[in-house]
Amino acid sequence: MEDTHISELLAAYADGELGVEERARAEAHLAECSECRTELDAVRLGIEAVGVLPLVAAPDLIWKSIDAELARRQRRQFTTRALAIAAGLLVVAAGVWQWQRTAGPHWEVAGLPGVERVRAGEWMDTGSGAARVTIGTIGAVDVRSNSRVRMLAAKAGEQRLTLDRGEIHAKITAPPRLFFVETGAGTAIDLGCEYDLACDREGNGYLRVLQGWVSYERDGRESLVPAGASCRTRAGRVPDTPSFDDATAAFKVALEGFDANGQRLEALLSAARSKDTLTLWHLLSRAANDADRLRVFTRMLSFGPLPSGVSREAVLSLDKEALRKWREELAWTW
Amino acid sequence: MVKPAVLLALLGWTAAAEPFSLQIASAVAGQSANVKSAAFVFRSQGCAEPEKMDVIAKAEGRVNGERRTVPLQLRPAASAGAFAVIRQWPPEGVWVINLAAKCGSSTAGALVVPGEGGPNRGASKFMAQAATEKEIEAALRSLPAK
Repeated sequence: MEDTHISELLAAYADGELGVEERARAEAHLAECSECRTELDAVRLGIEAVGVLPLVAAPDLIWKSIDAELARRQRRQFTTRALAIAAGLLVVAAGVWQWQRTAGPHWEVAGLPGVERVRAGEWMDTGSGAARVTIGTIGAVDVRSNSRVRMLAAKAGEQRLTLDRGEIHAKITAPPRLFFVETGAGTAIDLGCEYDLACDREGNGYLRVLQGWVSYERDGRESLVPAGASCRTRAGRVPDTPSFDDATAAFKVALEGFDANGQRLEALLSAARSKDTLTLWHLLSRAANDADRLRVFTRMLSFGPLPSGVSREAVLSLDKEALRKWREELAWTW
Repeated sequence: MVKPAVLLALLGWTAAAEPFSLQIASAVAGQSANVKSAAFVFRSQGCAEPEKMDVIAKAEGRVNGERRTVPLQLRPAASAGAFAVIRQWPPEGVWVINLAAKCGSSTAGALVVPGEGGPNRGASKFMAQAATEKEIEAALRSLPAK
């Protein structure tokens, strides 16, 4: 005899609903188990009793309670489903959050204890330490001590950060105009370069280019700074005029005066070397009036002729293409 | 109206009138992010078809008393006939860069002394043909030993 009784099969057995194998098993068990036989008799009695009961209409109260129960179950099913969806969304959100923490737009940080990456909108303060920030695949920025930077964008066509204060050294290998650094005094735009940029909280500082070119811009004024040259930045002012670092002291002093208040142009022109045509080229568009522009132009011509295809009239009317061609030609003399 | 063919011939004549030579500059004159790290850039002058100019560049040096020659690969700069010389020679020893160029039947040569931020113009030499071994030796001897 089987140790397990077959109570769960008895109703189906009595109704003739069991399959061949289960029916054979049930009959084999019933042949030896009086307890199950007694139970089977009770089941059959119940079935017969139900068969002789008259059919009567159920009272409304029962239907109402059935409807209420069905509605309750539906509500419970809905609640369960909603909870399941919410749980799923939570899992997805957690995944996105985790992805953003690890693989989302961010820059890797090295050298600063406790900081492994910086994400869009986040600030990083180096304090007494220093950090190297890897800018995607296009280069790296060394953030010096006592500097505060914030990442603004890290996407394929734009890598942008803010230098609130302090000093950075950037070395970028990307095509021009992909990497931007904003300060209180303007925006440094990489044109394929390596440079140092420093500023205080207001934006007073300097840009020194070591390789390639950097464009420093504010309010429509652009300073194009090549390797070996620097440009001062001042709070609330358009960018100063760039000059080569090996310019004479007299030239630098005169340039500072010119940038501060438009004075000392004559001293500047007389102290200029051939290489200082970088500065003079910028002065063409910064001269206070036509007469000053002509003085600058005349001084520049003393170092070499205009390139072919560039006319005096085009330069003096500040034709952009003519100015670009002349600047590119002048670069062969720097 | 002047016919284009005549104009081209005139332009060619004008270019040919200027002697063929090489001009050197720091990498910023290359106007390309590709050449920003170059030791220097150079271009032809007086070559009517600069894109067809042939150039051979070698680093000629002396390291611990031993003469060395390193063939250089040039990198094109932004404009036709302009090239960048990327540092491909060892840091030790003294070196000059030997450029030998041909434009049609014209030749030009240069021995360029690389400096910190670009070529050392004052120490570099330019000639109407490729530098001779004697000129290279003289250029190396003129450099302070390292």
